[in-house]
Amino acid sequence: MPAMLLVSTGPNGARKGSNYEAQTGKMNLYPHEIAIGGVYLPPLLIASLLGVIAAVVTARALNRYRLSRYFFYPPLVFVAITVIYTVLIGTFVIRV
Amino acid sequence: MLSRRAKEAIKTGLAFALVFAIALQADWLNPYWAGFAVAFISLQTAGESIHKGLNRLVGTIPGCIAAIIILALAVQSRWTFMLLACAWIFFTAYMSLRSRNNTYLWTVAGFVCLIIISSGASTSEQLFENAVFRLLETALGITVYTLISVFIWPLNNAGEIKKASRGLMATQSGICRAGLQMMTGTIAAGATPKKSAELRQQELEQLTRLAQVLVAEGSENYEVRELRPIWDRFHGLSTALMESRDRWHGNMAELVRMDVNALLPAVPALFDELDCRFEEIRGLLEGRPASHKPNSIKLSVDRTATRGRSHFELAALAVTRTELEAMETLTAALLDCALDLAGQATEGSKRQTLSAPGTVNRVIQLPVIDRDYLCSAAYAAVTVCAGFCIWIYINPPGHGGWYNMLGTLALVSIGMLHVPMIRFVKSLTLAFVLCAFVYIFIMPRLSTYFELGLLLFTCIFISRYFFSGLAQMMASIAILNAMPIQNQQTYEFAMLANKGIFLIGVFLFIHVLSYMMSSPRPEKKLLALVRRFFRSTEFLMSAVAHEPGSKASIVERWKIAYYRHEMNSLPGKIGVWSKAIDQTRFSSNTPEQVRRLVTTLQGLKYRIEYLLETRETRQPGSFAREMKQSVHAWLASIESIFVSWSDTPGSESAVDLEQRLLAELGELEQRIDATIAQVDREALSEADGENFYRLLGAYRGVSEAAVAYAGNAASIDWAEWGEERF
Repeated sequence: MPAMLLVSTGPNGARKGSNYEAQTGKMNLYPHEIAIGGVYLPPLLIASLLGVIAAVVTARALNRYRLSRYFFYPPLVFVAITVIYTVLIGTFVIRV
Repeated sequence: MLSRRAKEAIKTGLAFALVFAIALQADWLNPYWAGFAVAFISLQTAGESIHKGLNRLVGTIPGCIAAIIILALAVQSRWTFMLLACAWIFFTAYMSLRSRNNTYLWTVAGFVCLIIISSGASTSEQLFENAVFRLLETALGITVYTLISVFIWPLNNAGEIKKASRGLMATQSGICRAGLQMMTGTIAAGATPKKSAELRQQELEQLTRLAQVLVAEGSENYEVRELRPIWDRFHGLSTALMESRDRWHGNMAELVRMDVNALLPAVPALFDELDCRFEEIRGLLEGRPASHKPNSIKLSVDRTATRGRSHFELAALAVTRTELEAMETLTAALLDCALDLAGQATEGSKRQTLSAPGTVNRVIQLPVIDRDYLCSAAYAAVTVCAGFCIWIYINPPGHGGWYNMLGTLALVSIGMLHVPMIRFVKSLTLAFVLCAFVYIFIMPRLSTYFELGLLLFTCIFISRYFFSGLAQMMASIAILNAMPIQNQQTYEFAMLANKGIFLIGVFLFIHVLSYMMSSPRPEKKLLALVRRFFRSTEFLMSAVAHEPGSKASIVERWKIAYYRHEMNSLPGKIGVWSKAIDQTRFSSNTPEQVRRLVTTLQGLKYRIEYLLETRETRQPGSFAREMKQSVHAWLASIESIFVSWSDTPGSESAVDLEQRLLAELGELEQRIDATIAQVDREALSEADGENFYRLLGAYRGVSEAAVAYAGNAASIDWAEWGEERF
């Protein structure tokens, strides 16, 4: 994630340096908003968008190899996969 | 020279700019309400727009009243408020689906109520003011657009009804003539199935077109409105003629093996007379004077030619005779209508009722509820409830707009559930982004209304000229939402961004909810409908087993009426959903196979309906008793087949089924022979014999239609449609 896009609000909302990750070389473990052109987007929004995209890719792959026929109701499975991806991305990629 | 498309775009753009000018000048609340009215009532012709506009105006009144009542009763109780709003949406959604001519009126009554209750009124005066402004601005939009469409490049429907009727008569004449050629062996049965299918499709389209222009031209022409009952009768008779002719065509396999001209000597004369009548009707609709005096043709069976024929052949002949006589009656009534419409009705011409022999008992006495309409209405109510809960518990951008917008979309979408809502999202997103650019970069630089009016005109012109259908509708929504205009104009990026997220979120959310109605999975819906069709036929066949004329309880009669309605309505619904199946994902079944499936279901429906009607006719006592015993085995067999199809639609092999049913019908024929040898022939009147053979023909017809379905179902890959996919 480019440093210029990140603004960390810290545990109590205190603003930290925007290039914290670049300076320390460590992942910022605090939830931080994503700024695009000055518009601040909540990390959950980004994580869920990425979760949906990953779920769409997975669903297409499962359709392609006819594995989706083993599910009882694929639309619900899609929701479940989206939630799993969102949680994983929110935990390991973008802290929410 | 401007094209018609450009003219229509200019007219809509002009009306749009004008209503904003008037509403802003008068300092009315929410000027975009007038803009919405213009954007959504502008259709191809003045008549269609006037009709839609009137529906919108009239529907706004009950919507406003319902909103005032709901807020008066439940302003302090959120759950009562939600329940009342859901109940109103349920009612209007059901009515909009049931209504034939005023669907839009009920849709408007539903969503206007949601708009008014979510308009943020904090006092009863404010609420009343909001309702009045909504009505006023809707009326403004309709008036301005109507005046513009009438005075600038008027495009009306004058003569469209007559043109559509003439085309319909030509098609029906062509199909009848082709049927005669097939029946008499001039052309081989099935020699031109493609052309025949095309003609039938054309006939259906022409019937739909006639219904549309009746509404459109009736809205702009007083004379047409005066003649509307006769035109409606003309449309009803044409539909009845189509059904009767389809039932006659259903016997074709049996008829081609017989010398029909010898058995029914009056057939050539009948078809010559039908041709003359069709020609006469077309002439009358073109304004020519009446020149043909209709002759009543009676079809009598040549008894000498029937010797040596099997009972089932005689039965097919009896059914054919009934249907041909029905066609004769219906064309006479059509000619009568045309004479009335041309103002050339004579004293002698008597108006016949719609019920012809083939349609005698088709009217359902008890009120029946359409299950799909009920489910769709419940879906609309649940959608409002879900929107309300989102607002209360999550409160995302859009806030109270969630239940308002979700309810509106649900009301609009229940009439076209086979179209997945996700298709709207792409067009909406694109249109919204473009409008957002206009809002951010152009609108803040405008200083006079002339400049703003020009901008609004340009936006609407572009949306009407370059886009059509879905994209055009989405463009209108985007313009009105992304470019909000008020008298005290302010610009706020956060508001715009939130609105964008809200709109797209609402469309995505309703797409998810529409899984309740299987909207994004048309193949699964089709399977469910086919199963339901066979459950209905199975019930009706079990009802056939009861003693004819025996007293049934009200509940039993209601159940028969309900399943009869199901059976009659389902093939049409299956046809609609079948067109929505994605051929790229389900490529094993071609559109032609699916179309044939719908046709065979339609055929089965006609045959069962005919059986239900025929069994109510008087049967000679000894035959009736014998038939009851003999038919019992056949009924049990056909019921078990329908039960099996209601579980797995393609489970029976056509060859096995044909052999099974033919064996049972062979046994039946032997028993009939034995009965005829026992009973006193003299005691049987000609009418009794006729009724008996019609009933026998009805049984045979159901068997043949079931075999035809099985043959077609065997070629369909049901497993592919049933396979679960994302």
